[in-house]
Amino acid sequence: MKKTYKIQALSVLILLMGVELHAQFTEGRINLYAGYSMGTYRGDSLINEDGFVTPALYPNFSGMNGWMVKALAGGNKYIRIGAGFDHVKARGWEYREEIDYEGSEMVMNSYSLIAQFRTKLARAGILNRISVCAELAPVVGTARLTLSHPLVDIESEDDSAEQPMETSDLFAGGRVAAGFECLITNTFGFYISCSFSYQQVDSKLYHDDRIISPGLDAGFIVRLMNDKRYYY
Amino acid sequence: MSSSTCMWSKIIIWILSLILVVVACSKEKEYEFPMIFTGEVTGIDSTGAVFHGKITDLGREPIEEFGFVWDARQDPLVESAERLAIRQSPREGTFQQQVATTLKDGELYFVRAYIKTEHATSYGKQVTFTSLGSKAPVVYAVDPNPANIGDTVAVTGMNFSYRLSGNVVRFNELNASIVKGNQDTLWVIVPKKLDTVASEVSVSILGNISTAEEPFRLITPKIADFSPKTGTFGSLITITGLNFLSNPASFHAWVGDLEVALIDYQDDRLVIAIPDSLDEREVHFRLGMNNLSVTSVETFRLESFILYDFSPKTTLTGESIHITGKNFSPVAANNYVMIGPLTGKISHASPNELTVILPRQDIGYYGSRENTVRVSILDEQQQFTEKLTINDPWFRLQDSPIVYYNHEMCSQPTISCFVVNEKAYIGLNGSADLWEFDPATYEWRKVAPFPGTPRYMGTGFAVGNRIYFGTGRSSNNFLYDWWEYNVDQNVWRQRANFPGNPRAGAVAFPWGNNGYMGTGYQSVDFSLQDFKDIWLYITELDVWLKMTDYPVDPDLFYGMWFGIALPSGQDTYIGLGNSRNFGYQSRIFKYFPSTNSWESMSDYPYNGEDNFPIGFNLNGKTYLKTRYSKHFWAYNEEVDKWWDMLRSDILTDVSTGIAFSIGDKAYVGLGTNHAMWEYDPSR
Repeated sequence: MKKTYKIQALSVLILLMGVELHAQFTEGRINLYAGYSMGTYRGDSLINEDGFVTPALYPNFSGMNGWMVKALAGGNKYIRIGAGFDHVKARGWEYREEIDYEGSEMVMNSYSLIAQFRTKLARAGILNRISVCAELAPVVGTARLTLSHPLVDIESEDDSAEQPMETSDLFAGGRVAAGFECLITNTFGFYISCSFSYQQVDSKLYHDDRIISPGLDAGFIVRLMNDKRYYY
Repeated sequence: MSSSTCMWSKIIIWILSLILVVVACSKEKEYEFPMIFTGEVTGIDSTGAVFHGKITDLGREPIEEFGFVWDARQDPLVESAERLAIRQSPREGTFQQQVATTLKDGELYFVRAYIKTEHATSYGKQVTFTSLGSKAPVVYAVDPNPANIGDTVAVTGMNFSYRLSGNVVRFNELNASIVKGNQDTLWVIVPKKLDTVASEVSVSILGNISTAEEPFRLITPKIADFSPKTGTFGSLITITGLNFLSNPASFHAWVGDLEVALIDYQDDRLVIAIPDSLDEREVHFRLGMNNLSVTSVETFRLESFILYDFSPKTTLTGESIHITGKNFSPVAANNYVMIGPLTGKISHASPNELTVILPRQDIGYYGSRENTVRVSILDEQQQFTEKLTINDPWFRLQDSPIVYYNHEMCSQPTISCFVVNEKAYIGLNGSADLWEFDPATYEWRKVAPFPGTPRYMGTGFAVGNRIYFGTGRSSNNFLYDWWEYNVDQNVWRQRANFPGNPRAGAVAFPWGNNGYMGTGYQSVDFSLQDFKDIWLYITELDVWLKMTDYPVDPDLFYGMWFGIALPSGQDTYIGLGNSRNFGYQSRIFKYFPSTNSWESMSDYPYNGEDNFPIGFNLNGKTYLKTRYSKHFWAYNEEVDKWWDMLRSDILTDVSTGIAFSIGDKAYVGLGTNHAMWEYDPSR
């Protein structure tokens, strides 16, 4: 686990290094986003896999939330590209009388390459500060499930068998989002967007093979600019 | 480098960084033991249910088994719950199995998928369902078939209960012990009580029964032949056949109904010996195994026995004789030796000799001193032509045919006996019957019935060819009538009544052509009177003359009854008996008819109890015996004592009976039974 955090920190450092070294490397403009994410998981509450019927994991979480950061850069006035990182947690698993994942916690870390399509800021008027944007992002990430009680009872001869209590699984998929950005100043603004994610996942401790999650993101924008005194 | 190229280089760096991060974070956890999950139970109906499971990780150890366990109790375990193992190689993914047995209608079951490795067993979560019932298991066959009782055989099929107690395996109606088993095979022990050649094998789970199509068969021995076909006790017989060694523990051999040991024993051949205790002459051989038996078609026959000789030819009862011959039964009880009408006791038996103890005479009578010796063995009988002579001085004759009309009276001397012409006339004991006994032939013959009132305790004597008899007691009266029986004419006629008081229990004795009678008792109105008067009866004149009284103390008026009078040469011994005032007496006197006088003599030696004496004269001696003395005493004139003892080997109760002598033999008997004994002093 410590190793994972170190690598994540190293990644962010590399990104920052790039910014540091080439402040205007995106032809003079880079936008940093940080915000709050919330959403739910969608799907059938029960999984039926060739007759094997068992409660699903994700759809039975009451919800998830977390934070996200992303950085978008240059391109042109209508397209920006960048990368993002989402960290969300899900709790409150419940399905009828079942206790399979009751009390468990899901932590998802998502990494995405983002292509943002946006409207051009006008020279004046309200659209001088607000632009509508849509994003398309392939996503990879890890989903770490921590159980409150064992799902599999392993009985060994010397009682030394460790009961599996957590799993960290790779998922991959995509996300689409749509929203708007509003600049309050030349370098600062906020954004609100709705998103829809779809990921494939494979785990030893649960049987969901996909994660479908609509969400809502909101946060702040910091614009790093080079000799730019206009919003557009 | 242009700024655009530089930008995209950075982007590539970002992407690589991201991939690095993600791969680093997503390294899958490796589990040491398999991961398995239980799905919901589906397909629940009266034929069972479908269990589902899923393996998500096979772990690092080889998989030994996987499947489902279920029980009516929570947390079912492989070791104790019902189990169904999947007969496939384990792989990651889902699996399912129809469970068709062991589910009880209406029962709530707890089900877990399991997967087992060498060191651990992983269970999926527990799911529950309520059963609607299940079917019977499927029974394919029994292997091996045929087999023996006690063998462990495999009953193959499907859907057996892993929990051995959940299966009931029966051979016909007999439950079989299950040694071990799984869902496909049950190893059971063929019931030791199984005794049918072909048996129906069934497996029942929760009352649902399934039967194997082919019946189970017990291995049976087969007899092909045996030899020799005849022999004797101890002969060795070789039996050939099949399957003799299949189940030695349950193998038995019989000759007839006798189980015999096996002398030599192979699968197709065995040797037995004809048992000494064989009690049938012709028998089948029977071999038994696995509670089944086969019988030889042909029979074995014992060779007939042969008689050679017996010795000694003359012996005593209770002594032994030895019979030599061949093929006797070595078991004494299987040989029968008859000495006349009586069965001898075999004290020793061997194939060539029998030792036989002659029966004593208390258990029966030989009837004749010359007896045929017959040997009977296993329904064959042979006899010696030479006779065996019984040489006992006291020899029991054939029982008398006299009927006792009043048994209770037999405790007192009630029967009368007279000797005329070398024959005895016996009877008049409460009836009119008088029997003639001929000691020459031991034959009995009834003569003319007594015409007077039937009576007990009458008295009389025999003179010439006539018997004089009278007095006595009928049911309520004491009598004094007097009768004469002409033996030659077989005719009775009444004579002059006895002139004294009516009486019973008197004594009488002949003297010349006349006779004397006296003493006795009478009871009137419950008052008993005993008498001492003696009367002479003159036969020719039919008159009575009173003679000198029985010599008791004249100052004491008492008499005597149930005494005895025995003529002895010139005098007669009269005495013993009972008296009213002094009870039973040991006194005895000599009476001299010629002088009508009495003379005292020494008392008879007895213990004073009721004596009811009997006696006889033989070879010049007078022998006397009281009721409870076993032997006779003879009076010795020289020393005036009852000195000479005659041993009696009489083995029946002759008290209150009779005694008499004819020729050189004496006869004693009757009383309380019908036995008659002959005493021959020459033996």
